Amino acid sequence: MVGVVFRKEGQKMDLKWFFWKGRRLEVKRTTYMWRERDGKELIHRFMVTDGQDLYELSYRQERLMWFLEAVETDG
Amino acid sequence: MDRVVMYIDMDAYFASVEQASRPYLRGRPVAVVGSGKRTVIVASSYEAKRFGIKTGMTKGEAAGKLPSLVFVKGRNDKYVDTCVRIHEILLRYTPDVEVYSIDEFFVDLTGSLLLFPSPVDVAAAVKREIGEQFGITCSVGIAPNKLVAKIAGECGKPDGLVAVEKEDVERFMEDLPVESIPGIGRKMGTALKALGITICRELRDFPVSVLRRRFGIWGDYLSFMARGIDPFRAQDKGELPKSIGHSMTFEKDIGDRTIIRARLLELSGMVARRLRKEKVVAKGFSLTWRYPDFTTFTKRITLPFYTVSGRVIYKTVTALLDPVRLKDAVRFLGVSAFNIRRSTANPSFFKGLDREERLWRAVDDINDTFGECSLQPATTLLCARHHWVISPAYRPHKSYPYRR
Repeated sequence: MVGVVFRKEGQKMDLKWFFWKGRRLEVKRTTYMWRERDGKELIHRFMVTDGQDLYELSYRQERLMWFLEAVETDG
Repeated sequence: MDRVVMYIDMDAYFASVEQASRPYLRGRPVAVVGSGKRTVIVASSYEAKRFGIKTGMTKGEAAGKLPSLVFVKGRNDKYVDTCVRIHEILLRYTPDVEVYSIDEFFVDLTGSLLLFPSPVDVAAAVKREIGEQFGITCSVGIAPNKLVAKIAGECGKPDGLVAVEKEDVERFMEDLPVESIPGIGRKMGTALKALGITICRELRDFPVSVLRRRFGIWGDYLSFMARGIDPFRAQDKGELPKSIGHSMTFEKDIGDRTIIRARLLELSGMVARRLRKEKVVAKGFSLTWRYPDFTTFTKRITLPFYTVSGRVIYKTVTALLDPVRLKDAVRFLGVSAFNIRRSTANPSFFKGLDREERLWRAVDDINDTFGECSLQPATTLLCARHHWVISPAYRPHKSYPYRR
């Protein structure tokens, strides 16, 4: 289960935190964001870091749902 | 008013995007690859280039050369979306922007110069904005034409900004090696060397008649380009693609003709879908196959009619392959369409053909709505799904769906 809070800064979605495995993880920085299409559905993808690990989150615009796609740890 | 062209080339584009996405990769040698076992390197970071890691090397070759090399699987959509957003930035300066490839742009600033202090200011602003928004760098060349702008851009790599004034063009070109002229590769470079030409000054001063005798019309082009004159006409925005093709390198060599046919069906379907998307039809088709020892063969055929049907393309390319006695399994297959013209909505005189056209339109609609490969011929299920890596020559479609 992933919950994400964001605020609108101009046209930009600014991720603040999300829940994963019952833990609230603070987003220190969004390192990259891009958009993809799956058929008609627009997917917003975000690479974010909590200062330690790197997470890939996606937001599916049609379904209004967030997904945690991947977790990357260096090394 | 003198023409001012700005050329923008993203530095080690795919690798830089991955380094920007993953801060732990910054400063480390990175190679972007496809997801297959036999994938080749499609881009490498400057840290990797320094150790001789080049595009086209196999993973094994590169890892042998540089064991600390980090391989990252390419994400096509990420690169395409970044390209579209960079395009959007450039469109704020002038509507005259040409997306030359996924990581190169030509911006004609001539008409909008009065709005900005100078072309160099525009370039600096663009560089700053790209850096802030994406965390990547680009090299910029500014000159009176596309040819010199591109050469200037390449000279400043990485993260450079080189401006060449009209009166300085000849001087700028003089001492450059002839290979810095776009279109002069290793082969042409060697041929020129045999004539005693290694730098642009020597090429400029060489008799055009001799160049023409040796290289045909290219002899004239070479002489012009060595002076910094762009001999090519501006690209027509509605220009048709010369060919549309798809190819695959397989994880394992394929010897079974049934599987080869299934792959050809998949490739033919992909080519047909691209033709339909581009609203063009083709009557020339080619089949390319490669053996494990890298010997490559191509067969071509021109049909008496134009088509966009995947079934017709499939039948055509299998007919090309059927008489061939394959000497070994194949590691690579490619299908291409050429002899392309714009599709015209002409009434179909053949009832069956119209039915098929409608069928494929319906299949396209389903795939557009639910995603690629939602509906595909069952035969293609014989093959494992193939993961694609974008070619650096890929150019996002002009009616890109993400454009706001």
